[in-house]
Amino acid sequence: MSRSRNYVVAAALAGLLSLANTIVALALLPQGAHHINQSSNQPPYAVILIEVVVGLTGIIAAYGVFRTQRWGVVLTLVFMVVNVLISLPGIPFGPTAFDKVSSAVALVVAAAVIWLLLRRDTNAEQRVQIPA
Amino acid sequence: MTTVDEGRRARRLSSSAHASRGARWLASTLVALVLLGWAASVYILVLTAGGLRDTGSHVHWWAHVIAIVVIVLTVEPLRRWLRPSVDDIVYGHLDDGYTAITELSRHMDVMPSPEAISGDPSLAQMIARTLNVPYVAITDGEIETSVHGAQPSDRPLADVPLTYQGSEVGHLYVAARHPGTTLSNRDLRLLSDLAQQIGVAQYAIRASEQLQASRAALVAAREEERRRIRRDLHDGLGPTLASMKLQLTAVARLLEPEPGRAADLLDEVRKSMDETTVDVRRLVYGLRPPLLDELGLVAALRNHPATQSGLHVTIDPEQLPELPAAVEVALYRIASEAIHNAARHSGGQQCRVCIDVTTNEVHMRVSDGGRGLPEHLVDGVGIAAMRERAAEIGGTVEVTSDDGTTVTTVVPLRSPGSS
Repeated sequence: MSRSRNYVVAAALAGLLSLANTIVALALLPQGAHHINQSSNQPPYAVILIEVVVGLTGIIAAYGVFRTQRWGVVLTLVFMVVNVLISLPGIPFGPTAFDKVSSAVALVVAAAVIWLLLRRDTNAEQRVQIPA
Repeated sequence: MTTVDEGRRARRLSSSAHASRGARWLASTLVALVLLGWAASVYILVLTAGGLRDTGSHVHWWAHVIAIVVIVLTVEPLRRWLRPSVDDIVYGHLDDGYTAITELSRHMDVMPSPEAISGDPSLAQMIARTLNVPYVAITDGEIETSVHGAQPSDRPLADVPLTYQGSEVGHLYVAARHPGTTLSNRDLRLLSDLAQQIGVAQYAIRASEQLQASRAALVAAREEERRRIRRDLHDGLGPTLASMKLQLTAVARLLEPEPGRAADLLDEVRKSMDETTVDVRRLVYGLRPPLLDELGLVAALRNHPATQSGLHVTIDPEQLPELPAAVEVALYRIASEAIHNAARHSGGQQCRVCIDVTTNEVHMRVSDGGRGLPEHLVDGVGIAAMRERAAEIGGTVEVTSDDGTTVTTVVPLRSPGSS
């Protein structure tokens, strides 16, 4: 089956977003659950753990999209929706401007990946017959 | 065996139905998830625009109203846009068509015979379930061989030709999943792969039907021939022989008292025997032209009865290698008919027969220098018989008109089924 350009771009964007999420979440993990939960400008420790899991699995799912595998597309769609839901609170409630902007970027990238994956590959000139 | 096959088929249909339910659940969940993401995004973004900054901030009441109105207005159009896309992913066999093709092969494998596909909706049903489409029809020309669902009027049908070795043997019509949409290119590629498999089966059905018709025609012809020979023997030879036996008995009685009357009866018996001999010759000739055995094909054609009506027949070459009996008889009958037509209808005085024997085929051209064929000629009994003679041994006959009429025959030296 031929690989469409939409899927290659979606796989690249999803892979980069998942990688960025994983790196940010892994960088926060060494601070420990107690310190993170006490801090007012950090997301809850549980959210960071979810981001690590979603990020790592998202990289694998992005590879699945690149290989044009159905499981990859389905998983990436699910993770991108989860990414949207995780990023959304960061836009109004982000403690710093950087947090707000990065949340907005993550939201846009996730939305773009969803749109690329769901864009239909149809040809208007396909051979069709109008029923009588 | 049939029960086992039916059991396997029922299990496959059942497992396929479970898979289909699972796919429907997955498609609905994905649509719901994306709609949830959309609603949450709209709500938070509109509220952010309406003054939401932190947990204690005041949000204008109109921001809630706008967010809710936008969500309500956009959810249904978005769902309608999402559903075909998600269905393409879930049912479109994204990975490859291998699963669907394997399913199709297995399905056809448990069918008792190729003819069983014809008229059985389960093949169309399987494709419809695999692709989650409402209508599938497999046709052989104008005849629908397998149909699932009712033909919808609110969406176009994808038309995938079924081919075998480059020739079209039918069509696969598939309706789009949703009104006003078409199937995706991925679906069409998969249908094209499936069509190749179905095309082979469709060809097998057609070949099987043609074989059956051919067998029936052969049996009918054989029975007709037997009836004719029986009638000839019963009405001609039988009574003649019985009559001759009675006459010989009478001769034996008359030999002493009336030698003259006995001689007359013997004369009658001789005449009857002559007539019977003619009948037997006619029967034998009907089975196979004796000239072929006595003189060979070239000389038999050269001595064709039409030559006595003034037509000059030339045969090229003078000598032919030994040909199979069926080929020789077919060529003789076709050439005889063509020469006969030349003598009766062409108006010419010349007829030329060229025979070329190659390793695998015999090419024969019978041409006359006459007035040619009428512009709108409908094949008569003679031309149809020539075509039938050639077709019986896998050959063809072509009749063309250009500076006279030419009958071109090509017959294989070996029958199609022989090794």
